[in-house]
Amino acid sequence: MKILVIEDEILIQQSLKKMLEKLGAEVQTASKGLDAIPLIKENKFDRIVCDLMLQDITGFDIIEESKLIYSTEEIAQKFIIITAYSSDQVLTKAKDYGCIVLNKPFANMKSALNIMITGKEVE
Amino acid sequence: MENSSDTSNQKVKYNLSFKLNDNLLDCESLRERLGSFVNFSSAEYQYELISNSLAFKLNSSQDSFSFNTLDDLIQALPFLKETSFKPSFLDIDKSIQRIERLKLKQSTSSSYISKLSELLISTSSLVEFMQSLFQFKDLKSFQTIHLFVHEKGQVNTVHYEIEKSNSRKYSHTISDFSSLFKSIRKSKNRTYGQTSIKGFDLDIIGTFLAHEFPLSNHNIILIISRNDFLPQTKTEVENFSILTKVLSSFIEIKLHHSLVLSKVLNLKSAIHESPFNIYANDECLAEISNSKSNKNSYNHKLPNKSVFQINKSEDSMLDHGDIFHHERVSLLGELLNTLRHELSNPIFGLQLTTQLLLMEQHNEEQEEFLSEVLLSIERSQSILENFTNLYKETNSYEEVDIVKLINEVFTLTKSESRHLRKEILCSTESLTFNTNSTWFAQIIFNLVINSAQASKDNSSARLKVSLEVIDGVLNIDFQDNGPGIKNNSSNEVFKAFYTTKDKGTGLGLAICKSLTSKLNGSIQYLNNDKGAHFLLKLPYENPSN
Repeated sequence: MKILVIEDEILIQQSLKKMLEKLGAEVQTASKGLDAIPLIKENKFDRIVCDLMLQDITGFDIIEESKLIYSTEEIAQKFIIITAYSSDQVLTKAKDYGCIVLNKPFANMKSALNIMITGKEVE
Repeated sequence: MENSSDTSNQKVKYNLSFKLNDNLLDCESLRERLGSFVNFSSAEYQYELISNSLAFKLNSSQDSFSFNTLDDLIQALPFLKETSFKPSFLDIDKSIQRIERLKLKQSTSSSYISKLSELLISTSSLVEFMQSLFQFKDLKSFQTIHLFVHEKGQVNTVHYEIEKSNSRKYSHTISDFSSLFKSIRKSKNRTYGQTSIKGFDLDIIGTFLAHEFPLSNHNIILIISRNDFLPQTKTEVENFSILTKVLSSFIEIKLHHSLVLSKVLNLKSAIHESPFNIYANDECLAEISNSKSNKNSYNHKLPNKSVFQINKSEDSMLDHGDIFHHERVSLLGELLNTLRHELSNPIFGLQLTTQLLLMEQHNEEQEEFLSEVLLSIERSQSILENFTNLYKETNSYEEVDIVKLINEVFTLTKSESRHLRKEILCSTESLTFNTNSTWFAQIIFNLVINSAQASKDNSSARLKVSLEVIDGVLNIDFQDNGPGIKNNSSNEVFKAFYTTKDKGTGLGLAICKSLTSKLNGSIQYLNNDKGAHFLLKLPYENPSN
């Protein structure tokens, strides 16, 4: 299981990395959207956990770029958006891509990590 | 993330009413002066802005008389009943001529011109005017218009975020505005993405079209966005460029009118909300010229100086509180939203890291520390969450746990009221009711702050809040052991500008009273020698019944 975590808040990024690693995943990180794009293009990740508001570009920009190599279904299945400001606009947008959106702070840490590993929202 | 709907603009629309003072009707000299063309008994006037002069209009007849300067109008304002602004056709004609000189693509620009002229007349505010642009065929697919306006000479710029059915208003610094203005001016293709504008958090999703234009009194930036990431087509870019050129003239007219309107409004509120009776002397109506006949044919001077008093109604006090309260809430809301925006991410980082550390092996003491850290973090998160909820600008009623809300307000006033021992006495374990939490919290906030400030030097200061429901009325009793309010009737203390503090504005209790009546309740000051004692009564309906 290879996961890419794109997040500019370094504590969030590193903690997520460590937690996901404890669950057996292999994790790479990026703080900037523009650094993440070439990594994504190497097409080696099973999952991409992506913050929406990055310093340089938005998570949606990254998804748009990823369309070059991934089908719509793959995008819906690979990308998990994490955001602290989930307006209706953002949610609709994310729904259009079919991606799961997780609000920061996570309501339940265990289930959030579980979603990142499985790519599925389980009740 | 700002929630303030454009209530200020609604105020502009509906609150313009001026009553002619009864005393004035008896004023012989005024009668003498205006009597030739005004029938006083009808006492209803309107004025219209015709080009740059202002005209009085009588409701009942076609007679109108104009003021050549805004100052003249302002002098006469206290005597006006209703106001309305309509751009004159002359203004529109001038703009059209100016646009025609630009030699734009004929078919597109002429359709814009005719539509915009109509809209200019039919809409009453700038926001409404901009909103009507969504009707345009070329703009149908767009979701949001951002209009940045800098009135030359002002320290702040106004930013309207306009959607089809709502709008928000923000304020930015000039330096933010100019950097945006410059970067748009420099751009060649006129299409933008979120990243093309540096150093300015625009919060626009996806690509957008933008244009900047300098006007005689304002600098303007116009941005339209579909909130998606698809690039704009060439035709869209071309049409937008024509539209902005046509639009700039029309926006100029609209802005000019809102500028005048806001000056008129400021004056109106100054008159209505002044704590003192206002006197206007006879010079205020000294020069009124009749616009129908020759401009200078009526020049009236009063023979003797007389003074008119403008009556102020009791209600004006409440209006005042409203305005201050409105400003305060939107400012607080803005501040808290920014804080939340900036703090929630790093706090979440701390939370994750602490949780991670807790998963590892530690000795008992370290574990205890880490758990404490985590608790503090979670407390910070819930404070952020609660306060942003507390100060969201809504008119909506929701179910509120009263004790919890009062405790939140206590936390909010903590720095001011640290010395004050506060306790809440409630007969039942939990008490919930439907209310507007923002207003309710503001009332409590003001009362707590008052108690705290009055008892600053008292180390045994106490505030007791008792809650009780009696016959469908929620009684909230505030009793402190401070100095109380000396020598005054209970009504007096709620008057705006009534204060006993050195640096008080005298608005706190006026705001309380205004908000209480908005919640269909009442607030009383009870005289008593143990301290200050307020009784707040609100209609109580248990939501679970």
